[in-house]
Amino acid sequence: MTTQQAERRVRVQRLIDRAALFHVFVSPDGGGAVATRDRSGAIIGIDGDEAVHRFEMELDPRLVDRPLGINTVGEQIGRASLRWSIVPEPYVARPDRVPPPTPLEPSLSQRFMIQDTTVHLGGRGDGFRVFGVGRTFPMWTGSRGSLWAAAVANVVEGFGVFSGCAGNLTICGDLSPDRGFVGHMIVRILDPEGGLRVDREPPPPERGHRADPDSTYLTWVGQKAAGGGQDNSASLTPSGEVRGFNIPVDLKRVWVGLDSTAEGIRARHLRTGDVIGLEVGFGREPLARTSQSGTALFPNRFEGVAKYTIYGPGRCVVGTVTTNVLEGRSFSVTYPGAPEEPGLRFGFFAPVVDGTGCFDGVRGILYGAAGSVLAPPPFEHLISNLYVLRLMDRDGRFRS
Amino acid sequence: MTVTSRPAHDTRPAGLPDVNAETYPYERVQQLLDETVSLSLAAVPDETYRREATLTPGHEEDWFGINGGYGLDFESTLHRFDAVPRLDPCDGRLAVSQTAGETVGRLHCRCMFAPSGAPWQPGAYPAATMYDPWRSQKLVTTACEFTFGDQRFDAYAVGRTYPMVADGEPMVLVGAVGNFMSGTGQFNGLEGTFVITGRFTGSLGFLGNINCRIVDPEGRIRTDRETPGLAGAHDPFPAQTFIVMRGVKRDRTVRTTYGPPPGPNLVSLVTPSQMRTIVTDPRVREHGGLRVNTAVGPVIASMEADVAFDIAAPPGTAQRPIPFTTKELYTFAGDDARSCGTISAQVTDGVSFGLRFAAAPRQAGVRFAGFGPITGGTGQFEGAQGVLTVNSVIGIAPHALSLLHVLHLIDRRRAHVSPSGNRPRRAVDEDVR
Repeated sequence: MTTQQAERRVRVQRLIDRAALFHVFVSPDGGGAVATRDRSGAIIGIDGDEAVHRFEMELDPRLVDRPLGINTVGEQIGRASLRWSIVPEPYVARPDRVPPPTPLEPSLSQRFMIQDTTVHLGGRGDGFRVFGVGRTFPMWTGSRGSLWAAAVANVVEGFGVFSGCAGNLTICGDLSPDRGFVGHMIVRILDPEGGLRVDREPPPPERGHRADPDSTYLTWVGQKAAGGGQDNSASLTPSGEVRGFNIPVDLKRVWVGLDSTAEGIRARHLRTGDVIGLEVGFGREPLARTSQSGTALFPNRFEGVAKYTIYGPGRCVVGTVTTNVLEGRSFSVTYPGAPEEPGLRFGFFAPVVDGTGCFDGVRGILYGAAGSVLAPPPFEHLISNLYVLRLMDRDGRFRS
Repeated sequence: MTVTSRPAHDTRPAGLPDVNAETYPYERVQQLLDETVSLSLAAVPDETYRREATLTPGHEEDWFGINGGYGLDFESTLHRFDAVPRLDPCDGRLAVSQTAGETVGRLHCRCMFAPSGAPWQPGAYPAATMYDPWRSQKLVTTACEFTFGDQRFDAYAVGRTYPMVADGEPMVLVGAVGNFMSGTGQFNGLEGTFVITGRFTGSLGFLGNINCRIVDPEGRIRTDRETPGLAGAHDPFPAQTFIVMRGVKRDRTVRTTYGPPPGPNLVSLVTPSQMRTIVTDPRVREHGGLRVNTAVGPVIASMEADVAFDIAAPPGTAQRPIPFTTKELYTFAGDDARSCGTISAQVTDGVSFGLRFAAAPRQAGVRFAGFGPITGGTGQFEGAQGVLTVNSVIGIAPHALSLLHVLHLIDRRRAHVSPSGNRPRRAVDEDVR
């Protein structure tokens, strides 16, 4: 790597990481979001207000035979009004469309649309309104079933400190017609000027009630190795056509945080730690980009498969997990001062399809929110991909 | 196809051939059909293969090949398998004794998920389609090898997944149908079809049942020698029950009739059959040859099948088989006609191939196979879930049948398994072969 390349890498990685990145936990208080019904009484979605809490997560520093998640739901920090509607499989969701009433079938995996969902944070009018799409996933352990929901949403309007900001959310949790939504949102708001972030540690959360005790969240960040050697390559079909990219990245410990200050909502700068694993994956965009794609109205779609290898002491492998990105949405980004860099911000969700070692037999969904610069090889790909693996973990095997 | 003058009882629509006409005597055609080997096997995942599974062999650096992403690569050991249903003489209920024995072969299969309309196209790669365990998806194989001793068949197959939840257990069932494209050694030059039904395990292996029909006029595989008893017998299917049945017409007087046309250019053939128990005992000889002994037992069900196909289509070939669909109703009852229940099912993905007989050159025939979902049940089969496979050879004029059907039931509560567990060696009480 030349000096010039190394300097570009550092500069661009910093640009990518200029984002306010934090977790929040959403759960019903009182009534929660209630089921909406069609004329026949069938449930077609949820609609209502829920509480938003601080949510801190990290990996236990001890990583011996499996990663353990430290998950702390903190004090309430805001409210979210949720309006989600089940949509037919082929439905093209857009913010300006009202979907046809579609009954919820809890035993099936269905698409849903996030309409007019607004998150208010702190007491100073900070917040954002989002639009997005997602899917339900019936998940079972023994005879107990629950309906998971995962979604990617784009910020369509910001308020207070978020006014005029671009960003996206990735959502994963339990969806219950009786209670509404219980789960997690990764919030990633572009912050080129740095006004949304602070260097200081937020105060420890006031430990609150975990409304989804059967789940454990593990988190890490995917970034290219500092020393290079993790170049992307083209994946070719047997007839020699490019079908997508092969992408390796290091997996590192990660810390993000959220604080409600006198100046408004602030996120702590992204902080990364030691390498805890390796991701190798294949990704592709099934639809060709156009001049209109990559926008809020027409995000790029992407999909792919990836295998995450997690290390224990001495970099021995404690387990692997393979996930399939069934839904990914990316939006073009122009970085201030570097308009030539093909920037992207994106979100995705990827159910676990296989696990080995400590992950043998696990059920869950990996999801994330990320920023990157990406173009076909030999362009040097840089990325910060905040991952969360939500596992069905009734016996607390992955809980610190 | 031969069209004969109409006898008085012939009520077929104008222009359609008389499928009951006897180009050769019915019994002779039945005998020719029965020269086809039937082989029912249990497939058990080889967990050691998991480490090397890839969709891009020779290109491990290409992570498109990660197993479980755009396809599945698995190996299963193939075992002798007896699944013998019996009707209890006291309460009339059906119970299956199912037992797997020693390993007789291996199946390696690399299959890619495919768009729902992907055609039968041996050697082709389908458009990249991600595995989604919550959706029913089509599969096509890019490699499929059956090995018995030192000899093998290379095959091509298409299939479909069926995500299901039974008693709180999510599972991905799979049905598939394939054709033996080429073989080595004793399999060289033989034609045959196979069907698969089972489930993908949590470690992306395949656990299920495989039924092969191999046209064997020279008797390379068939044998009358009884195979020694099952070694290492066990039931590898803790939540699945297989009802394996051979179907034939009761006798030559049973007529096949035309039903209402199911669509443009399609005809419907309605065929009543008797379904009997069957045990197929394979043995791999010291020098690698496969031998199969078959025994057929008593009637346990009657079956009404409504088969829809394009009667004007040319005979199917390995490269271009002719599709068909069916609807089946199985009524389980013994000699006393007391029924313990019914199962209805469909073949949604069927392929047929022209069949000729060297010993009867004017006789037309078809070998055909397929799979589809179980759609309902009554009596003890109320709420039945699972997959039907059919693997058959038939004559056309006369319409003689040699059917091999499997009803694969999700059975976590073991409601359809014999309470006595593993069966005694000879389950076929009345060998009528």
